[in-house]
Amino acid sequence: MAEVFNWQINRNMSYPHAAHYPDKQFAFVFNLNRCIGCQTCTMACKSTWTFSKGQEYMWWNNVETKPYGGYPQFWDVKLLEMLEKANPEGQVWSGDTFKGKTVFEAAQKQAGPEPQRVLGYLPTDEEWRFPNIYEDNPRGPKGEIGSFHKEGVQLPEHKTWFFYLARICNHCTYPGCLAACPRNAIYKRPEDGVVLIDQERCRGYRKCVEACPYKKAMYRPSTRVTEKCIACYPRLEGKDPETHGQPMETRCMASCIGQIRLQGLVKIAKDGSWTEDRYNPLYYLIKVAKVALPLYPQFGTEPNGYYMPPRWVPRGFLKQMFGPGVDHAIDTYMVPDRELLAVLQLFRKTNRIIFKYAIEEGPKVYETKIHGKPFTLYNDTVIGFGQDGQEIIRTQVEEPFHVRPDVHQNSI
Amino acid sequence: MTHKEFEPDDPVEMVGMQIPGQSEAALRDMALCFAEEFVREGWNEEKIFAMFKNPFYAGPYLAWKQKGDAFVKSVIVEALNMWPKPEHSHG
Repeated sequence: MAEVFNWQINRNMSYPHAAHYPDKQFAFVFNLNRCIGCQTCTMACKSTWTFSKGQEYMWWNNVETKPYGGYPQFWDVKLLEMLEKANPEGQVWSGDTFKGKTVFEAAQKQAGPEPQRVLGYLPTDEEWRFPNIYEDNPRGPKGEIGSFHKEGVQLPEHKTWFFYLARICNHCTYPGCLAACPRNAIYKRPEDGVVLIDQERCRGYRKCVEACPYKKAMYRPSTRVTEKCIACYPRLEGKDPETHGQPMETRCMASCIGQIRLQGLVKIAKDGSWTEDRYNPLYYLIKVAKVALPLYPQFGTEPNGYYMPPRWVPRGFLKQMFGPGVDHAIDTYMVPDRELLAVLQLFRKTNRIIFKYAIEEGPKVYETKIHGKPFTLYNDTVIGFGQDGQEIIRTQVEEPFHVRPDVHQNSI
Repeated sequence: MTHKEFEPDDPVEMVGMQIPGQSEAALRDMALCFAEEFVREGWNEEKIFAMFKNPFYAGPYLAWKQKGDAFVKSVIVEALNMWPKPEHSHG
């Protein structure tokens, strides 16, 4: 076991391999306040990578309804329970530091008849098989299998909050899948930190399926090897002819109609920390404004997917899911400053990866108070630049608001 | 799959169960999100209130059903005060 530093839990932790970091890291921000659960991302991924025989239950991208849903079912609840059992009442934060046990540390304690390198479990076939079942759909009348209430009025109501959680592989800095593989078939690309399974070396032992705390490694019975999200790496490499060699965002990102997603590549220093890159939109959102937080940072894999937590959800639930930064993230998001408001406009304005942004100041539009705090809206212009430094997008904070005239109503 | 009534103590039957964390503050937060969203789209008070009372819009409707007219109206007014009406362009 090596000692590595995990900035998301603000301490050193044990990891089965010595630290080794890429030059750049694939990372993304999802604004959960905006997700409408339309599954367009899910279908974009499915129709690109997992439409073949043996991949029927394989959804590299999925959107689940929290708190009820999960793909595979109950993935996070089950792992949280296992960690709690391994370290009763010890899974707590002290300020920004996680005092409990990560999936790697808990596994050391767990030595039994079948010791694990990474605490985990293998989901059952049934848990993989029904993504989204009963999440926000009604059940039918009692005892009538496969039927539904035709009157609508009988639908069961969730008398509480919910939100949609879109998920892909987090291309972790300390991947659980990589740590668990007995064949060393899983590797992290030095150029962009994308985590891949070597399909030639993989023997389908499913140790990665067991170990990935996010359950994003998936076994394919028709080939007897495991597959996972590849971060659409041909697009990252600029192989898509549309971009003339410039890096392009993944299929799931580019298709997001809710405009919740922004993906990029961040610079990584030799020691694994993020190199300061003040005007990279991801660096700004995650490290400066701190409005985007990792999913279950306490698992210890240092995931590179970041989420802007939904503002209406009880804080206790969010803190368990996104760590201690939740209050700051929501407070900042609810009353955004001038720069944050401009950067939020970059979401889904282009399918090229934005490496840098600049803001040109515009006129004041109005002043108001939001949640008791003063707020001034300026119509600033935000400009995004690509890897080659060329401008790829230019947009304004105040978007034009068009209303279809009566004469054209229903004329689509 | 089984087809029977929900049982709160069954760990594999979480779907549709109310979990701890619901409070009036959380309900108001959620209702305010709906109201703000439509205020910023340019809807007026009357139109937003009608949406809260329409069962088709399950989320807002649930807030109205639980808390009634006065609560919903106060939420809408708060949202209206927060966000100036956007300028529309026709065409």
